[in-house]
Amino acid sequence: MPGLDTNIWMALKTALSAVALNPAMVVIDPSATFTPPVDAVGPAPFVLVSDLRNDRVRWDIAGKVHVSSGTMILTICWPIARPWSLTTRDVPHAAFLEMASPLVAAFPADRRMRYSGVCVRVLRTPDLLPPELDGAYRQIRVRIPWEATQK
Amino acid sequence: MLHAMDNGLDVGADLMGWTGKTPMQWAREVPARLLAVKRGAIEGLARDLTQTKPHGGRVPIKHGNLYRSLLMSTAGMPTMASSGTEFTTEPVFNMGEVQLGQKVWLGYQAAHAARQNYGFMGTDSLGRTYNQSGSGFLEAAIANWPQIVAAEAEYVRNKVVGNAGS
Repeated sequence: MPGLDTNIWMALKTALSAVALNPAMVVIDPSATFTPPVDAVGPAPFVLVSDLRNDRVRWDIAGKVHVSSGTMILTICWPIARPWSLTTRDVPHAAFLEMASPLVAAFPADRRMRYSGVCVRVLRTPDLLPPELDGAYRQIRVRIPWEATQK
Repeated sequence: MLHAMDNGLDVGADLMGWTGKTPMQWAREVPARLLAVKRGAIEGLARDLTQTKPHGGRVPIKHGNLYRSLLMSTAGMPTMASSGTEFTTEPVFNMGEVQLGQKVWLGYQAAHAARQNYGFMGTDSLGRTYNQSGSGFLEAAIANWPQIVAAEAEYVRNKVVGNAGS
């Protein structure tokens, strides 16, 4: 039977897999090996997932209630070699922000995601970090803080 | 007037046989206690942000450049150094310059700090591309901040209570 931390990840992953991204992108799990996707246009965009965990907090003297928390970071990677359109070379800033908006919208504050008896709650509307260039990719990150109470 | 009140309260305390601190004496020490909590909490946060993985922390370490690049400033957020800059000295945080009501910034100057915290695409020893998950040391330290402040406040409170009779 999977443990608490595995079920927390599965709750987040299940919610993420239901998000319709535009354009459609491959989602890469933490530490997974992959071949950067390529399509008819050239190198294709994809999403890297980071599963960050904070220290657990003991909530009561008896030690029966603990709060687990963490942050799921979703990094949209757009290859700089890929043209945005036939007429526009680089991704316009507004379009890049809009690529992240389905991810922000899918995890509103207080959304509860359940998996195998574990309930994970989104703490606040996700943060959208400023886009930046990293090597051959333009990146924009969505930071989703969550917590789960274990009784 | 405060002095007169203080004297008045002292007189009242003497009449009641109280030999500890008067309320006015206690109130005068509050700013010092708040400053002690603030400085201690910032030191605690800096400790979290420089504690490397081999030492039970979350900051990755290879040559030590990342954790050594943490800088404290009261002037603004530290700026990122150019790629390849080496930080060779242990970070020192001068709490003496931190005052009540003053903003303090802690930031990494190492160019690769964001990648290490948030994650990046890496190549393993077999030449495969992989998703290097972020270490999340920044988010973890932020989440731990309320506990850091509470622990420091408790420490200062215990020091005060320990000296209550003096």
